[in-house]
Amino acid sequence: MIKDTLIVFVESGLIAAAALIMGWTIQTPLTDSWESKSLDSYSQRIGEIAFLDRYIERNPKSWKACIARAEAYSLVYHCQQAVDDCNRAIALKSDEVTPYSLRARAYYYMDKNTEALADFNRVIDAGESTADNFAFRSLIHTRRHDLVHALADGNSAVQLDKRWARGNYALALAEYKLGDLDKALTAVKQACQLDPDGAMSDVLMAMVLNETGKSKPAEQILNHAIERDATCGAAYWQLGVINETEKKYTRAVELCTIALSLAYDGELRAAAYATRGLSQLGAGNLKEALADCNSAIKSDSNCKTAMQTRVLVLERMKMPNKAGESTKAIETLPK
Amino acid sequence: MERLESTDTNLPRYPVHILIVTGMALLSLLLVRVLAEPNFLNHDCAFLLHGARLLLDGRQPFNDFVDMVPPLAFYMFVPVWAITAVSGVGVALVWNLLCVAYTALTVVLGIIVVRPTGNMKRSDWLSIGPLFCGFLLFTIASMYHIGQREQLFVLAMWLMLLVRWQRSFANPVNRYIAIAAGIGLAVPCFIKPQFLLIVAVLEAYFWVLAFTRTPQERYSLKSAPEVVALIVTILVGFVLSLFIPNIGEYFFHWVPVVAQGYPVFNPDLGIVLSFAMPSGQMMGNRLLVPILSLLSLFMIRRSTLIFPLLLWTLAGCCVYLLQGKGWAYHALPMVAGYFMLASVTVANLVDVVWQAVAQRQKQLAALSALRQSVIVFLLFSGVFSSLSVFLMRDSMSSAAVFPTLNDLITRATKPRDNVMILTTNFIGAYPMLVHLDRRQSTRYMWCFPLPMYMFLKGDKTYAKWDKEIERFYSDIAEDIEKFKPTIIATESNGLWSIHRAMLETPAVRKALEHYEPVGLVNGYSVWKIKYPQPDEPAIDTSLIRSERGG
Repeated sequence: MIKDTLIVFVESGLIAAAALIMGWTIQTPLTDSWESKSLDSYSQRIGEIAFLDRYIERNPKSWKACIARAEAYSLVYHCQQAVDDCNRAIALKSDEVTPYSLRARAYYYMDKNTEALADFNRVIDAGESTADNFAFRSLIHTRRHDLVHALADGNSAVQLDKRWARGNYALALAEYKLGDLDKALTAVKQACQLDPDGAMSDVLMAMVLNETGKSKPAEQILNHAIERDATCGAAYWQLGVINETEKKYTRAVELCTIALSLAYDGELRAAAYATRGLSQLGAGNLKEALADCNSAIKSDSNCKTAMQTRVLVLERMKMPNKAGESTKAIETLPK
Repeated sequence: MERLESTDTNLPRYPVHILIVTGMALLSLLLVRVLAEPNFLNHDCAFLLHGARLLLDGRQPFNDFVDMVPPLAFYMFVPVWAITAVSGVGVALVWNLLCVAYTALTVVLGIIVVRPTGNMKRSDWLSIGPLFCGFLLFTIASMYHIGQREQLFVLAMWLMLLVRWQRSFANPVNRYIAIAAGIGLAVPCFIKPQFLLIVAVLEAYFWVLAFTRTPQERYSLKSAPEVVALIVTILVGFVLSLFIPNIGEYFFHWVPVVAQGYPVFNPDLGIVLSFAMPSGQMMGNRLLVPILSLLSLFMIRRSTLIFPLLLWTLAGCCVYLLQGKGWAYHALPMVAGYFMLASVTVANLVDVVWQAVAQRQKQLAALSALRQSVIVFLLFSGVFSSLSVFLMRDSMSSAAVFPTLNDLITRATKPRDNVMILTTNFIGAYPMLVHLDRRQSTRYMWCFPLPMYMFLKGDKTYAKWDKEIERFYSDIAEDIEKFKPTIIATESNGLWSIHRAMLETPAVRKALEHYEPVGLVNGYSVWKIKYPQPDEPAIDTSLIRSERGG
């Protein structure tokens, strides 16, 4: 009896151990070697991130896994998570350049331009002088209204790789901001050819054409951009500009409102508010125009359009003192 | 002491300590896993829980919220909120613990069901422990799907299989357990009638088997309270549904629309057949799975479990393909089928080897049946532990839920606030709404009607579907006016571009006059409700800055 009990006890111990081993083993994260390449990018990233979550749980000191997860998050534009993983990778291996490069891009998309610039400077100084890095840095300089450096970096990007779409786009944007429309048009045409699906290149092309008075082809290009990318707020904004120019103020306000609902950076937000403010002014809605101008300036303190519109609004509202203050503020803007 | 011969049909009861110890060990692992992630909540469970929450808030089905699942499903989740309120524990943990408890109850009832082993052959008898083991390993690996309808179906179907299997031997089955098995199976089958295909196939097998058996065994199969309980429960569910407000709209509008329009979400057949979609994918090695399944065919004569499990697997595969979406959880019944089939197959292979060894070693052959069953089980676990991880992937390894709007909703709203999330993919939305205790404030809990209407309309101008699309947007406008959500977040980069068309609708534009655009947040266009402004906005001179940016 005691012997039987003892045997059962020992057997139970062995069975429990076997069961626990099986239970532990079944939870082992393994990659699926049968990945379907026909899955969309988002689905692939879900799978990668899920696997890396489990892997990092079991291997918390793996900086390579942190970088891989940051990369996956970057591809689906979950920028804060990408930054967190980059920070983790940097803490584990501070001399590795890749996490700085990924973090720089994430900061760019988060509109954290100071942090992005610092990281891009570090990456380029470390020897990663690629066309893409120069292109991004050029775009950041443009956002910060440092057009001299923006142009220099844009040129560097194109010199390093003439067929890099982002480099041509960055150069085109810098030229456009500096007022050299011919050079801007040349560069943006190249960008559009190299990246036919890129909506932002289309928007810039439309902006250049609009400046040269070709609003009809600009409008067609913008509608085409929206067809391809429904989230392209900049395209809606430019359509708003065209409608405002044609004095279709109500439609311009609607389009700028849509642009605002799709804005992810301060520059677009400011531009859309400014154009909407101008349209509200045209439609005689002075209170709304003033509110929009203030919102534009809050998003970008150098938004000249908003400041100029505000002066007009304040004059129409018979507030000459405040209009005068606003005029002085315009004079302090960088040329 | 009984020796274990291959032709034995008068076997002792299977050693209960194998089942109890295995059950306790593996259920403990499951419990630890659940407790380690107290905030984890499967997205479909979150969806149903949120619907139940809306019912408790006084909202009416089809007036205030709409979905394609039978609306009774939402009522079934109401008790979970009651337990949450009484216990003070988070609803996610309450639900997951209830599922663990249900799994444990299933295992206990399963142990009671398999106790009588009269008329069982040796190979069937030896397969009991491995079958339990395979079932429990499956539940651990399917953690991401805990509480999902397919997972509840597998739990219930497994118990039903044991009951029907015992009846095929004319072994006695406790009447109340049999009825409970039938009722338990009816619930997921009512919510998802597709499961009835698997039930029907297995039932057909047992009925055909009945005609090959003795009159005593035929009687046992045919007078089956579990089958009666299954049918009656489904009918009762249907009758109860008739008392739900506005149920006519469900049966006469939504069911036909979904029946015709659901294919809009079908991906390419290649994606479905590849079993590669993430969000809880469990499919194992694509070579090993069919090899082991084919190997099981050689064992069909050895164990009477093999054929029903094979049928379960094939029927599960049919249900997966018929649904046509390729979503990972749709394959759960099939994966459960082949995984348990593999466990029984491996057990029988191990037994073949064991018998060959025992024939040469008289001491081993002289061991009692109970000792041999333990040895075979331990040998089985040695082999299966290395195979199992290739037969089935851990579901959590392919399931990441991105915190898409969590930060925004947390910062911009407070508990019980109305928010409106317009999306065709709610994986990220509903766990967030449940955890943060916000309220979805559109009747379209997810915007499935829009893609379906567009699919049914096709490229033509089709008045009926054009009207429905128009109605969809005007309903949204109406919901904005009615619920005044603090935040409206619209999916803007999906295939159907809800955002763009919505803003072209005059009624929606009018409703949005009380909202200001916030911007793009992780692919969602976000609007926030305006609050009353003073008559003349003060000019903030601090906005006029001379700094040159950055």
